[in-house]
Amino acid sequence: MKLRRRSRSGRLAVEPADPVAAKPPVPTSLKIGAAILGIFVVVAAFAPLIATHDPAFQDLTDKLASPSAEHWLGTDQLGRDAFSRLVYAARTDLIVGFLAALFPLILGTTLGAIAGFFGGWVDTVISRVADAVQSFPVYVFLIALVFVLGTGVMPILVAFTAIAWVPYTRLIRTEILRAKGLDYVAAAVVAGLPHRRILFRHVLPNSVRQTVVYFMSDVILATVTLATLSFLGLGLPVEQPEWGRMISEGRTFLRNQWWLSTVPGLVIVALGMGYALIGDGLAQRLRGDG
Amino acid sequence: MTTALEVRNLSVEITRHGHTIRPVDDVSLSVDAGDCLGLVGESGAGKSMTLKAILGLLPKGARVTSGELLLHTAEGTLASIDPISVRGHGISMVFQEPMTALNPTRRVVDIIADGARAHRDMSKSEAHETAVRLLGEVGVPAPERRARAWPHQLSGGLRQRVMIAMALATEPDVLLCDEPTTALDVTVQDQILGLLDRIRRERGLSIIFVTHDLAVIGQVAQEVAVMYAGRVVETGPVRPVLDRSLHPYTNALVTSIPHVDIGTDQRLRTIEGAPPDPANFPPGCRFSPRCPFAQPDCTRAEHVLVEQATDHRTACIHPEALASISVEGSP
Repeated sequence: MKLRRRSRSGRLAVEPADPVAAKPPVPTSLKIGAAILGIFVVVAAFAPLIATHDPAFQDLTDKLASPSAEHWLGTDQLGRDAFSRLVYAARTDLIVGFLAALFPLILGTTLGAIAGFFGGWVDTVISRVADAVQSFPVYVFLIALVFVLGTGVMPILVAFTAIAWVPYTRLIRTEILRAKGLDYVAAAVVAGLPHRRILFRHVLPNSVRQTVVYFMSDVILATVTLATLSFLGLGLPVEQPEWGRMISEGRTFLRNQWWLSTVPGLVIVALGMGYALIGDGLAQRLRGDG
Repeated sequence: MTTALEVRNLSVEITRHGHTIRPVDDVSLSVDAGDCLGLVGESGAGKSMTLKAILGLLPKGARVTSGELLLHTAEGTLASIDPISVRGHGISMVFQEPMTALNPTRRVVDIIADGARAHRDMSKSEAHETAVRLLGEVGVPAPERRARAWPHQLSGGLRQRVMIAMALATEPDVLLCDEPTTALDVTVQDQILGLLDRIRRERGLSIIFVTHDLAVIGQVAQEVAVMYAGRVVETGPVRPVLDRSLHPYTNALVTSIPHVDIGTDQRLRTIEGAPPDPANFPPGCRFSPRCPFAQPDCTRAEHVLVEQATDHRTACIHPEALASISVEGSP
């Protein structure tokens, strides 16, 4: 049993762990994942301090330069500093990628909770709409939506939310159906608690584990999909630094300036690893074998 | 003595795939204020279904087709009530599995405080104090500290105490206990039974205690009702029913209790056959196919509880058959 220091109560530091206060250790994968994500967050937050140049400044006399002390990752076809663009792109990809997974989570969880908890025709309607959405090929549907909705962050978030809520709804609905049958829900019903309280305090908190883990993989997917859309020239404005677009634009020069595409690609991989490790660690932690 | 809760002619039906079964058939029960009624029977006898019907917790597809629930009121009369309306007020329940009956994402204190707040208006801190006081009352050591615990940090016995505190938080008049000690080991079981008994006496609480363990009934109950195949077959004060059973089924249950002094070469006594399928109950007395005393007219017997001794009723039409044999092995 782990020994815990209890300086606050002034008791001896060697007192055996208080079972009430004891917490399981944090899994290593969670620590590493959080560290990776932390680096990205810091870079995004302090982009103006970290970037060496204005990411939008073009110098056509100095285009496609090789890495140097002045331009750490060289310059692109318009003479913009690739390193600075890479740093600024962290803001776009991190925030849009996260929100593009968060909004579906919120919508999907709400719909799933309603469908599972109340059942009946509400459940039927929600489940059939979910079926309908899922019957479309994801990318075709997504590209069509983004194409119709136009350029910008909002269209992307709307399109993602409209499509990606389905797995959350299914996950939560199933979990809630399971949780509804448990004794502590019956106990809450017998105690006379109102529906809303039972749903939010007793059913939902016990149904979100898988959803949280799924969310971490969905963030990766959303980030990569965002990059893919930009790669295809859809979604975000052309001027906005974005990793997917950097890969796309650098593709032409892969033979001589391979780093223009490769480095943003590796950055996406690193971020994905970070999310994956967090998801893995959370899954481990929530299973209780941390 | 005043009646705290009465169930009259309760029937529950379940329709599945077009077939209708009746797991609870015309069951009447009553428990006096401050008394404990033991409800005994094999698995599938309809005990738990009866409790669920009382609380309006029947699963999907099951419905109450007849019956009335009467609860003692402040005016001293019995009032017919709707199960949903008594939730959180007149009746509470202690569940069988303390592992699954406590929300793992809520701290113990919140679980109990929830019930207290659902019952009447009180501030968070008042509810908190009530919860800690209740934890103390049900014998949880260091209640202040345990209140902050999560359910998974407690032992089975402590969880069951928390369950009881939770049930008491709504200040019920009647406590329904669905095999609350079955999941516990014997020493802990004994403590919990003692606790329930103490609470019953201190609070003047009425308890309906469902179990298949006759030894437990002998320990906690004053009255007993024996159920078989969806019907109550024998009721009465606990000693006469267990010592001088007037129904062959009760007698068979009593003689099936294993004893420590049984020889290793002796087989345990069992009841021949299996409980009937609810979809296909035998005609007449439903125990007759397994009954050693069955007569030809048993298969045509109407189900009526007849008083044979003071407050001691049986549905058996040949109780004299039992009286002729000596009852061995009563607890």
